[in-house]
Amino acid sequence: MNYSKEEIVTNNKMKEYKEFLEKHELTYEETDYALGLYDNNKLIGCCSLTGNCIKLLAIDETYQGQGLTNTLVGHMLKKVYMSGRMNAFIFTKPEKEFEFNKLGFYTIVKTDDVLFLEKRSEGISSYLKTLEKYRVEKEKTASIVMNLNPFTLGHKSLIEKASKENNHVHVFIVKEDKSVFPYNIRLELLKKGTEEFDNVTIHEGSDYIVSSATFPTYFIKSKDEIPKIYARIDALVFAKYISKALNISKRYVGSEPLSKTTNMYNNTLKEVLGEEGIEVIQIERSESKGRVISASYVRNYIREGRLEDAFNLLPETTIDFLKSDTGKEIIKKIEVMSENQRH
Amino acid sequence: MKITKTAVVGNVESNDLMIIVNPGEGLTLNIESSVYEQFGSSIEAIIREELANAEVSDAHIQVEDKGAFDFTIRARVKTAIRRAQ
Repeated sequence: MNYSKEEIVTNNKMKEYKEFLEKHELTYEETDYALGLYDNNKLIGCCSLTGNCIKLLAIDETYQGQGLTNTLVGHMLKKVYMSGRMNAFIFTKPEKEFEFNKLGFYTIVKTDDVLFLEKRSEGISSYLKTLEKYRVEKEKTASIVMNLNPFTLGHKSLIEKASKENNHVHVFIVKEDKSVFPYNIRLELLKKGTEEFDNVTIHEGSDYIVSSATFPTYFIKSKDEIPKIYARIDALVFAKYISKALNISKRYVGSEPLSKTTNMYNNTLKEVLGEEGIEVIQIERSESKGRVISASYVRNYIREGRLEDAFNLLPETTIDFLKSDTGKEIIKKIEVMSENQRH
Repeated sequence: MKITKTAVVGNVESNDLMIIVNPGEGLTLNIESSVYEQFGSSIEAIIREELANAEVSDAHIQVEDKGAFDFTIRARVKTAIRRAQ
């Protein structure tokens, strides 16, 4: 057995790669790095990586049983470890559980559609230990998960409402680098924008707060169901682990009258968290001059050069940032974005 | 010997192991093995012996073993330490 490993980039190998994936019932998805395994120029296996998430693994039927999965996954693990991260994750079909458990991956949660695994056996338990330091033993403890691209008056009023109605509020920010406002800036603006609330704890993003922007969907056949499928896995990690570590009994979400996806997500969240005894409270979006406040409107206004309109939807802290040099750079970035680049 | 950078050596294939060495304060060693119940303590003893021989006192070490032989373990540890200097 002597097969060659080759990175698949946008070149003449791409067509063969996409067909190979299709044959294995996987949908091509752009990744940071894609590796092909070749037997005399014929593609016989592949695997991809985005951040520390392993994806799109497939081996040609006739080459199975030679430990090629190990070769490909091992290659990806090495890349992850060399980047200084000590854990790797996989989202895949539930029927793959036995195979990946044998490869040394541990199941975090499993639904009818998705299996979520990690490499470290103590991965999520050590994360929960760091969370437990912020546990507050009070009856009314609520939580909000937010992306904040960027932090608006709408986000602020949602946090304020939760802060008033509860003894304590844990706010989680989604960690991903697909948003035009980078993670560290989103976090900074959240911290600055919520300084006045003394019963609010800000939690840095983690691999266990799954982002809808980076949730892999390559193995899902019914694409229409994706928001629901994503919501189920996200809600289950939250209910089974995070809410228990922090004694959380309520979760606040903002409504999104204009987005079917958000509605589908919120409804599924209610269903799954409800079963686990966590109440989901949906708050109507705050409005400014008759229009709901939404981060995507803010980005639209910026793109159209209507800064004043954007500022009307933002707290002082975010406005101050946008006036800074780094802020101006982001404004420039948004201005050259096309309308269909949503993030 | 001082560990100054990350090194990853070996494979997660049968009869081999992958060892990840990172800089750190104090010595932490975490072993996962498909044969941990039978051989976990002996794997740990071999690794600790190699670390002591190389005078490594500060490092985070993660080992993913797939049933490697003793000489493989020794070779992998030695190489990893050298690369992480």
